[in-house]
Amino acid sequence: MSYRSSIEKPSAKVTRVTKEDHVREVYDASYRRLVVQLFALTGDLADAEDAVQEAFVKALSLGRAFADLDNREAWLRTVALNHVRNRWRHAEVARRLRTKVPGPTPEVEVGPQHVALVDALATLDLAHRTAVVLFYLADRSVGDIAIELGIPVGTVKTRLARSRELLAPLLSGAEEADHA
Amino acid sequence: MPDLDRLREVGQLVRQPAFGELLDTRRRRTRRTRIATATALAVAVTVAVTVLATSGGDVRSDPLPVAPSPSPTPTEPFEIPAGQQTTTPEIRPGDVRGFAVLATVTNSQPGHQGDAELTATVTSPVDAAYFSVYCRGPSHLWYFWDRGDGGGGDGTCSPDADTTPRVLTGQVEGGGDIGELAHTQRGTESITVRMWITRPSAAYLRCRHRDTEDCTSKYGLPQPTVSPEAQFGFGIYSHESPRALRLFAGIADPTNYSYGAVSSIDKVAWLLDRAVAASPGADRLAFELPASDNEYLVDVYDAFGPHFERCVDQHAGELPDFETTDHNIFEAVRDQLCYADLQLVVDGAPVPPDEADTVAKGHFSELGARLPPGLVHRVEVRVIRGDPRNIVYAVIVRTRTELPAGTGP
Repeated sequence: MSYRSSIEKPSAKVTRVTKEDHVREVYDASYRRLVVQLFALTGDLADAEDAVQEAFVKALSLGRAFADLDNREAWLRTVALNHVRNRWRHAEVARRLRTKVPGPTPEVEVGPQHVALVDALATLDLAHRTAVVLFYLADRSVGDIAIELGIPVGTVKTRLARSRELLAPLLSGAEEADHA
Repeated sequence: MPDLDRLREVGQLVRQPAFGELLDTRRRRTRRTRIATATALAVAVTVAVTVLATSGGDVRSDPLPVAPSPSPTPTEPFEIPAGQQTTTPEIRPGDVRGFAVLATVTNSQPGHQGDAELTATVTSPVDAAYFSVYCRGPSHLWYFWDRGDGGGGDGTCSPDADTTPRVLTGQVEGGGDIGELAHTQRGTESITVRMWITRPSAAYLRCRHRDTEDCTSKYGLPQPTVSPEAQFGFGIYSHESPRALRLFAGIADPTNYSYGAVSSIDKVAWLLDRAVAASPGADRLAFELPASDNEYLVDVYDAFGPHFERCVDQHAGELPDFETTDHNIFEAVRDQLCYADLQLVVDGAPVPPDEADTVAKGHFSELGARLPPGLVHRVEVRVIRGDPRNIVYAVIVRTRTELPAGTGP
């Protein structure tokens, strides 16, 4: 868990900060990182961008409560993932009626090596994939992941070990192909 | 698995939208009403200076009610449109409640004296928990706390800290205030809060001061330290607002338009009084509020009406391409064609909308106002642009109240 002082810091100047400033700070620091994590989880870059933007819009709506969160990135990741899971099925209606987030950048083309990695991750179920993404891409410790997912540390370790077993042939195959 | 590191490269490919675009999205979602011209709204609102003088509050914590300007004349005709609906909230005994205290743990309690670390586990309704922490002691001591869901915090102890846990932070709604929407989550969750006192290492503190990296990953989490100088503790609370009122039933998403009996803004509590919804397709809503001993709070809410989608279909040829058009432009064109703009008028005077932090202005929606007690008030909402059939709109009236004290162990 990343303990960032949201309450007070020694020698910190007391200044008035708007609720947007709290979100902007995380947006500047974490946006791309979260998109990568969601991309790894969903396998779709456009969906990942949409989901992360939705999470930030929700953070803006949360007001001061967002500033009170200590682990804002974890909160945003959870909201983004929930958004992906609960996407509105009636997409056409949603497109007309819902105020859209800025959306994905059309010029982004993910390289084949990235697609191969995401495809490999897609062979894992969501629970295992989430553990892998949090550990390898979000740089969370096993203990942090246990807290974030609400599962025992042992379960996190088991999922990571199992994932490594499953991914090893796929990823090493990709490496061999690269070397060839 | 170093291979996965390569996925980080994707982050460099992504164009990060300007933060202003997100702000704009949020603004457009929360504010469906727009006014045609600013000049049309540049009507002075007389403020009740006497109310400010007697309330003793500052502008943020106790915003000025809108005073009648000009004063309403009871003999003036005030037409109530036919077909509008007034709804009374269903408030059952116990619905107006304070925070329930789930646990209070301090190191002054028997059994915890001398502890460097305190923990408590409670069962709370999902997404309804609030927390407070305190630490009185020398400022070289730090406290850390976590609530087991990725959230938590830290800070330095203070020699003059209040040693009574108070509701300080909201998990769902901001700052210990009770949000206006009803609590819709079902079920309960187990929450474990852990708090400890520590003396972080100099290296950790230098890292924190630089504020450029994750110091916990680098140096580890500072561990509990016994300190007889520290008085510390925490409280866990919950608050649930069952649904007492719903707007636009069958038309709009109920989770966005279901309201709890009581809500608060900067600790000022408001009790639902009534909702008045415009007749379908009507270009005006109007009603009179009797003189009351308590201040009123009126807020305007609106949503897409049943005709909106048909309108969008009818104008499909005039809309830019959704996929390739900037969303601001797309929605501006769409809303210009098919949405409508509203104006709130109180006692004959238009109330300027608040586009920014409406809660800071003392009301919930962007078209809202606080009305002083002791006077009859005439409230109107006018459709000033667009086809009224494309929207639904209503006013929620609340009265100022006192929140009951909390309950708990």
